[in-house]
Amino acid sequence: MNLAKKLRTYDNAVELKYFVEDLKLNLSKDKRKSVKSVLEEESNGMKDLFLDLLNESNISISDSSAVTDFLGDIINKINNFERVNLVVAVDPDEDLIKTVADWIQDKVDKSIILKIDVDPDILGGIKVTYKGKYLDLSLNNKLNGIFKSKDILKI
Amino acid sequence: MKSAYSKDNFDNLLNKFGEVGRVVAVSKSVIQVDGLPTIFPGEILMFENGGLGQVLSVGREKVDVLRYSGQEIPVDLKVARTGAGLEVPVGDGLMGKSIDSLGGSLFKNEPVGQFEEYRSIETTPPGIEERVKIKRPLETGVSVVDLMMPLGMGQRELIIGDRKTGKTSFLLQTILNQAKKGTVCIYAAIGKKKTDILQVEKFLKDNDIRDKTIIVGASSTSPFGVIYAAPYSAMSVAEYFKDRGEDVLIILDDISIHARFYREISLLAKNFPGRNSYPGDIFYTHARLVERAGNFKYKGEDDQKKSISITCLPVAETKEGDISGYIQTNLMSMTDGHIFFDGDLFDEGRRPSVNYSLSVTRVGRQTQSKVRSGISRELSNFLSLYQKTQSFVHFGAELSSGSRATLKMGDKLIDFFNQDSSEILHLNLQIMLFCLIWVGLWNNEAVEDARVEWSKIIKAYKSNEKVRKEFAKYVSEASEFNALLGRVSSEANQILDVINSALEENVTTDRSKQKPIKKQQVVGKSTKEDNK
Repeated sequence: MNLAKKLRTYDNAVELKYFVEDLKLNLSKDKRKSVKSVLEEESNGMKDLFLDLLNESNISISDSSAVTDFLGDIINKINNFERVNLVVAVDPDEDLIKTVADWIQDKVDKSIILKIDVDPDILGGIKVTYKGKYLDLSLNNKLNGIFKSKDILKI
Repeated sequence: MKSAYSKDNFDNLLNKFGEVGRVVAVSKSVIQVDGLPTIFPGEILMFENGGLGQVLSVGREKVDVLRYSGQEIPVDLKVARTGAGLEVPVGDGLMGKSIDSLGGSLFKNEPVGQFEEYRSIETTPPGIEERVKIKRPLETGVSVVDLMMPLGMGQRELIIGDRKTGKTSFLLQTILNQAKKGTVCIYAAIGKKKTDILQVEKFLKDNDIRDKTIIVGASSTSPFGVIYAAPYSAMSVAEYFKDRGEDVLIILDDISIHARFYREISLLAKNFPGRNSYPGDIFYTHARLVERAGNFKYKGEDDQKKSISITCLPVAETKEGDISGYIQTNLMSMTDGHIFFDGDLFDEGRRPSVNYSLSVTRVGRQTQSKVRSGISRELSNFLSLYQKTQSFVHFGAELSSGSRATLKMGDKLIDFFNQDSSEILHLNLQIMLFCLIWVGLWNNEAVEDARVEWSKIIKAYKSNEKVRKEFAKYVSEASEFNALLGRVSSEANQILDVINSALEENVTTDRSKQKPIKKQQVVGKSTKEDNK
């Protein structure tokens, strides 16, 4: 199961984490309740993704102890994701996020997720932050460099 | 403050170093940051909101950052490197200014201006080959110190005592005297109340020496980092003027407060606590600072100058007069002596309340002329005898005439050492006045009456050039103390004539009636003889 590939963004990861933590809490509150009945009460959008993950891992929904272990496993995985922060000028669509996330995931060994912020001030391009390294490939930065080097503003 | 530290420069710093950090935890003064893979200890960091911090320690994942700004630092805030340690602006423009540890204005209403040169607040102290023996005396203008515990230019003398015992008054007198002699004076206020710093500034302004002094400091409300860095910044400013060939006097007021703040920072950074919860490197923290002062070889073009000095007077506060505290004894072992301000003496009305028997000067005596060292020796011997005699009085013993004479002379000398906090006495005046007392000129007078006469002499000395010249002649022509004493004894009336004529001149200018000093018969050369 490649959880990072399924989630791709930090927002999705946080949403799944909260969903899993809620589920864990509800299960621990009333131990007589089955996983299925607890899930039925949930209306979160992550429910389908969670059921897919259970299927992929060949865990039966009726096996409460296996599901509980699996919940802990998911939280651990999410906590260990490495974050790549991206700042872009426009809100990216799902396809773009998928392309970028898959491309980055192919280049690094660890599971990564993207934290995407939108800042129209950068005009275009991208700002990347990963493991404390910072790369400004924005159009704004490029133009500033050109203005500075050619003294265009003084003319 | 350095323009590179402005908030607008944040993006430039990110681009320049290609590294970014993120605040992960915040305590009062220590902030944990992750990221920044190639950061080094001591480097200044800038937060996205313009706040500043300095790297305290570097871990595998996170770094501990000492906060320098008062802004709120939320978790997840971006952090940029600056690539440099903390630097303070230096230059002539600092004269008369009050700056904080970062070079910004201490009082926000006073702009500091722009500076071209910046110096790191941490430098390696000069080695032994760059230092020379302390040979030049440093006058404080306070008679009990100048005559009994002389200081030298480049000496590091600890000023120690309970709170409110007159330490700062003494330091201000020393600044006043030294600033008038052309020494660059730097007052480092470490964690002091703002009102106290303003009082120091007022004293400097009232005495017309503000433009010769610099206040580097951090008030008690400043961020801990700013307080911690204050003495180091002040020392860097001192080093700038020293390197330019000017003698510098630096006051570190006070180091025990600095130690307390450093203890708090270290505990917040989860460093292992040692004795009294101070961190293990507390000695090094202060020793590397004090070691930067001293007397150094002069490398400039002035042939007259042989050495150039940074005289350092660190201050330490004691509790209940206990000078054996951890920080206090640390400081004693890294300085060239200490002057102890005694709370009991202060309560007895002694000003300054210097306890000469518990004070030490290790290098000051080697700077003294023969006359001064003679006076110092004579005074030490006599005052110890005076103290012993005083203890007999407590038993109600009937005293011999010799003992009574000792007590009388002792009382007079103690009163002679009493000095107003804004008054400074020139060394020649101190010597001559002491000699006049010592030869017994006022032996038959009460202390109060003698005090009136001394005031007249002080007034005459300060207002009349002739008196100053006459006193200087006596002191410079004497080969040693006894020779001077003999001459003063035989020529006491001529000396009083000069003073009286000066006072008469003053009457014509001042229009105030001034009675002449009564001519007295010199009773004896020294009361010590009587006691035998």
